[in-house]
Amino acid sequence: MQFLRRLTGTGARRDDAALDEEMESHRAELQAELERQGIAPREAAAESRRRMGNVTLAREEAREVWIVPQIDRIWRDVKHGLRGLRREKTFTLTTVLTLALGVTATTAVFSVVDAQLWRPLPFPRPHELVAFYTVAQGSGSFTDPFKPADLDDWRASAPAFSGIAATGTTSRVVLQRDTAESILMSVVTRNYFALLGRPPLLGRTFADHPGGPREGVLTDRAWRRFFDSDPSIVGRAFTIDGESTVIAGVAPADGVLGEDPDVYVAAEDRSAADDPAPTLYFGAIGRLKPGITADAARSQLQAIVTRRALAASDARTHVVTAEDLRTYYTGSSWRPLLFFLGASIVVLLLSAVNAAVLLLARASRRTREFALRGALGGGRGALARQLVIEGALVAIPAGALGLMLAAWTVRAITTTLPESLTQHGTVIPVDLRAAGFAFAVTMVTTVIFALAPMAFMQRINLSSALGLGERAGQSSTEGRARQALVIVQVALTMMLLFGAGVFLKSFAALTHVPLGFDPINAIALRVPLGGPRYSTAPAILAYADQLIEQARAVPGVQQAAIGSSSPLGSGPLMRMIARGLPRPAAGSEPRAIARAVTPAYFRTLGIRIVRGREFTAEDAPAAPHVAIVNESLARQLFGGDTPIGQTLDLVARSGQWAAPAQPVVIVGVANNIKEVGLNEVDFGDIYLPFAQLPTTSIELVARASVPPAALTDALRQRAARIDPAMPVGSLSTFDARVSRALQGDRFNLMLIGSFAGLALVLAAIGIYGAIAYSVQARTRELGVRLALGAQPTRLVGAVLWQAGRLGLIGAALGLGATLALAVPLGNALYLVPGDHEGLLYGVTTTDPAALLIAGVGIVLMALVAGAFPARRVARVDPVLALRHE
Amino acid sequence: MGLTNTAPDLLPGTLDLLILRLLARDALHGYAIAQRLRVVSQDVLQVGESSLYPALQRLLASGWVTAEWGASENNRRARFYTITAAGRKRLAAERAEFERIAGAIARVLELA
Repeated sequence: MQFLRRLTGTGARRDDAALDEEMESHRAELQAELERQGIAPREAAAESRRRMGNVTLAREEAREVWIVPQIDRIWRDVKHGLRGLRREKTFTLTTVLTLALGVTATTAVFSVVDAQLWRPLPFPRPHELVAFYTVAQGSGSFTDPFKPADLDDWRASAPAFSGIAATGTTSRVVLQRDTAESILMSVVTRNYFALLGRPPLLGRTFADHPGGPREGVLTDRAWRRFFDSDPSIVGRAFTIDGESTVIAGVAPADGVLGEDPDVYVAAEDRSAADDPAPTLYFGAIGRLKPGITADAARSQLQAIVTRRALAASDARTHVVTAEDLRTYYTGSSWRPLLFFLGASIVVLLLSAVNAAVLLLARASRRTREFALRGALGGGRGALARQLVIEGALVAIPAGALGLMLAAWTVRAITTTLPESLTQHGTVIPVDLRAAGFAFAVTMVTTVIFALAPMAFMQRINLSSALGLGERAGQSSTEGRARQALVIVQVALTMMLLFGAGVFLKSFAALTHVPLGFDPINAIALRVPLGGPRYSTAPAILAYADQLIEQARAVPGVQQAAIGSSSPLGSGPLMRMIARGLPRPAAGSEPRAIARAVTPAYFRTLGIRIVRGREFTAEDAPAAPHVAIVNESLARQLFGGDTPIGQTLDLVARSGQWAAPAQPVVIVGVANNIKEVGLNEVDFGDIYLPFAQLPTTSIELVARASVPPAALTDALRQRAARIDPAMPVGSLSTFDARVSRALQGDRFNLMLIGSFAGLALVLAAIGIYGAIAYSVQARTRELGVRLALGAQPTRLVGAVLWQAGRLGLIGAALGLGATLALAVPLGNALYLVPGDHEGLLYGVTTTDPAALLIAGVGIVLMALVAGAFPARRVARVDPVLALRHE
Repeated sequence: MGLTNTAPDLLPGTLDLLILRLLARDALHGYAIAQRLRVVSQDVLQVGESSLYPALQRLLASGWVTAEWGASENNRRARFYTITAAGRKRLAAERAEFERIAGAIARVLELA
């Protein structure tokens, strides 16, 4: 209450009146006494007024007690702090810079992590959105596709949802306008936009009731790119994927489907007459009714799915998973993200420790001042306030600088961010959230560390500090506290350094991974053959033949071939059943990446046929159907037995492949190739002759005698010559693919490497400070020793040893902590190699070489940091030193 | 220099201590505090109104004393100050601190 009154000034007037009355009463008493002493009333009154002195002044001062206190006192402390900090420019600058570096690291990583994990999805009431899917037992991690009938059943029988939308295939198709463009088209149900609650930017999204021509909704990116943001686009019709499509509107891309498409079309617009393949959905998103949990919805769905499986006499168990959309997006990527956030917080701690040490040094230089202030009635509260204010004076510019640097850093690294980090939002904002975070972490760390000197101050004995003899700030308590802090710093740095070493080794191992193909001077050109003209096998084969021919005619091209997909580009999967082996349960048959290729494909890409033969022109459509498997699939299917001559029945998974009717005979074995990433566990591959299984999605692969970048224009022109209506899609060199496959690892290495570098600098500053402090404190002792004839080099050695010892102790502690933490942390955060999801490759989380290098690095750093103050020892002038203080 | 404004230099905070000590015995009004201080210190400590009232307001603001209107011995309306529990605690702390400093000063004076 009093505090409030003081703060707001309410009641001040009443207090004024009371004070006036009180002082008048005082004066009256005085007058009465004077009268009792025999002074005439009029003189007594005058005398009493005179003795009261300057009443106005007294009243002002009395009133100030109420108004001035807090704000004014704080302002006084701020001014005092600023004066002090200005006096110690080096101190202030170092502290602000080191803190700013810590804030930069943490805030930049926070921005990335926040965009991925914590920022609410850009939909209204995002917590109601649930992604769900079913997985048949024994099918690995592949989710079951589902039919419109399933969707109808869920909508009718799962009351937990106010609506369910489904997503179908996303595929590359042709957009026909003046020129042909290759675009990405996603099939979604009509209610997709309404369910997510995303209003269109222009026009409308899908109409509620199907009927009329097919409608398409462009994403804003495609609208800008293909139509120059032309607002008159709405209502116009274009041929997309061979079908006339009216643009209904433009919508923001939402990232729900992973890769954002260029256009959405409604699944319900597909009439069965146009397309014999039934509509299949691959993903479902439901909006929960208010108050319903995802778990309740899951139970309802599970009941429906089980009932339907029974009705269809499907013996497999289908397990439903329903999770909120954010979790579904994130998957397991949060683990490495949190690892890096943790590492960045370690950097922040290191910088805060430095700030604390520097504040401590400053505080101890002021020991006498503090002691005096304590003696003169300045309570511990006032002291704490002063320290906190000084901490804040350092923290605020550091936080602001750190935030600026973080914004700049994030912008700079956005281009090097791995796809997995930009998937759900290509822009990583460094905004108020990041600023709030930066402010909070800086303030909390600084205030805590600014108050650390308080604990130390407690031990100052007032009379000894005020007394003579001991030099202020020379207490051994402080020296020990400082050394302990520095050792902790060194230990933490050791851990980060080791982490960087492990990532570096992993990266080096990845760059030497056998790819299974030769990326040098190889190039791929994707052509999506679409529309009615390429609906038959002969038409596709004719186009493919011409494409190979045109490519061969380009000067510099040595080999050219066609494949449905290519290395590091993955491809659709096929299931297979080997004849003569026990038949696995339906749905759990072995799977492999299937690829239709022309005979020269293997030679062009440098894939070796390790056994049997490659495809030839003899493997024509009418000839017996054959296949080549890779070593991984051969081992998976037949173990040690020879796969050559074995017969396989193939089962295609989706409508993308016309399921091969004939069984295939294995005629050869190819080596394994990298399909997705460099640290992948080998996939099974099955190659089929393109002539026997032509696909509409084709890639021209070519090998040149020169760097292929020079050939791209010629290749594009030649390809366009065959059929001007067919767009030539993305063209990529295999070198670029390999580089992109390393992008995530490169980014991780850069991140942990810069953290380790920062930590090294911070720890070096810490050691330098501690040693310089101790040299200064021992100046007199060193002077005496020099005067008594000690060798300067010995003294330098002693100081260096002091620094080296700090490094050794810190490295030992860091080693212990690393050994204790590395394995559990590595497992928990999926850092361990050996799985597709592992972040590391070809290295363990207790790699001895990395540990050794980190330890040596730490000790070297300590010696270098100690060398500067050590040099000063050699220059100590005994005479001056003895006069020191 | 007016007669009633003379007071030896006091360490800051000491006046508060003395007022609290006086109030610890009786509830007093401002005039009585000044009187009592002079009498008890045998005329050494004479506090001026320009110091006394700011100090009293400070003590009020800190919650160490409360004030109530009453009648003085001469039947004049006066504000009586009473020490609070927090004030007593403060008094004990300040007193210990003062004795420590006084001791320290004394030791320095004796040794130096």
